[in-house]
Amino acid sequence: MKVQCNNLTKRYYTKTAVDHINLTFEPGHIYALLGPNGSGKSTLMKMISGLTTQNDGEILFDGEKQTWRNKGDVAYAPTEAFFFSYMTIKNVAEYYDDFFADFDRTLFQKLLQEMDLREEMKIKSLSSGMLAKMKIAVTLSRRAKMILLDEPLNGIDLMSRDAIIKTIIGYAPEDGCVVISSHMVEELEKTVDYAIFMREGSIAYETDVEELREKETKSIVDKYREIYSGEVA
Amino acid sequence: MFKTMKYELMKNRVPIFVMLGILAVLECLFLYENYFDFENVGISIVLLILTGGAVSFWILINGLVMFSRDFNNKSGYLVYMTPQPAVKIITAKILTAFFTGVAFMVGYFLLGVLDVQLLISKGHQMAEQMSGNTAKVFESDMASFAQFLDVLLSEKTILSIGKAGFIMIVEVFFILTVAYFAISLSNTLLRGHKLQGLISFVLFIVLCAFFNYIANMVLPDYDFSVMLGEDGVVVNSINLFSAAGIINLVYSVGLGVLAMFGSAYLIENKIDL
Repeated sequence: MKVQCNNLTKRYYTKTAVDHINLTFEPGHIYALLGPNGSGKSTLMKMISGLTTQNDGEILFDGEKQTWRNKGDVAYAPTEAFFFSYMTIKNVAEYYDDFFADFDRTLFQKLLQEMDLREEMKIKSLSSGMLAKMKIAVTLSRRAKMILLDEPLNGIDLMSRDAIIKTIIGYAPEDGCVVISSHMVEELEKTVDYAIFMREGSIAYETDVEELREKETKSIVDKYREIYSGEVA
Repeated sequence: MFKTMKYELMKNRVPIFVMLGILAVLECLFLYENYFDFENVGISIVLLILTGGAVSFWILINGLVMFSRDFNNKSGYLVYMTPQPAVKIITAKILTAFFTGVAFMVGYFLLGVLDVQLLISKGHQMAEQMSGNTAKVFESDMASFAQFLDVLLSEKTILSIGKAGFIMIVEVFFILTVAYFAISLSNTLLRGHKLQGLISFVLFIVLCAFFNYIANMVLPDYDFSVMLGEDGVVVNSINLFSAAGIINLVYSVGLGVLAMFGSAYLIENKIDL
């Protein structure tokens, strides 16, 4: 599924969070959405997942204007804990089973096993690392056409980060696309094939990662430093 | 929609069980007083009535609190990321609060009837053990209770209560939907404002006053009062099926449905989670 953002703008009172963005997400790719805090990454993801509405512009799913039905095409994992406080991991699986036709319970159980999580665990007693793994597991278990992972590596130790990256690469849907927002650029270097750099709500730069390496002989980290030098990440 | 209702109920199950637990304790207190003590049976009845009223009120208010919380809490993502139109979600939320409240009130009414019967039966037993004037006064009190129960359970009263209950259900639906709309509106206009709760409440009052003003201006007068005869039996029951009655009910239901769709529109197009 091809997702296009045309002239997308989101304003909050005096601040413009996303400013006339034009982007296209193609199936079969893993995108990195990069930029310091407040650059508009989360707002863009929330607009694509249908949780926030734009002030201007449009989002097209395979050329059709976004409707509530497209929530079924997008699997979104926000950076915060978003499950109900009473839930166990099993309850979360049941919830996804109930509401999302593309949820693969068998895959979810496999991912839980790989991530050392058990269904009877209570969400509110999970550590931040376990919770991050849980969010990845439940989101990737939806065989959605577009997977949006907002800061999946935030507050996670190095070993868990590696495990999460491996899982994302291993289980990314072949016919869908994955968008990962992060300011931990090093971890994404080997994972993504397209990088979008955001600054103050606009696209500062976007590039095919292979092209960046070949033509400019730069890594994503080099480019990140070049774009944001002098800014606090 | 039923799936959303299921999860709304599950979210609320702990506070609901706590409330029911408190009522169960008070019911046990009443039963103890009725059968073993009788000294403070009046206090236990008053406690039951007051707590029951408070729980009914809490169920309705809790529905509004949960709705509002979804906008300010990240768990709202889980609710609104599901591929279903917002109107379905909001209908499920309103119906959950509504049916929980109605089910509780019906159950509570039936329990009340049972308790009065238990009270009378115990009263008669006690009167038999008394003598002289005390027994007469006691028997007379019990006879009044019994007469009250007879009147309460007479076909005419039940019919009248049913009609009044129906009107109350329509009005509760109207109030709930307008309250949900007020919350959605305040989240659209003043999201994150520290006085947002108060603003929602003021908006709710303004909207209700406005709709009532329109109703008074446009709709035909309709008498909702119930007249009781000297013996306590209902003399004039509410005429639900008069033209004025139907127009008034359609107005309330229609506005409620509009408020629901209005909230859904705001959630889908204006409110940012």
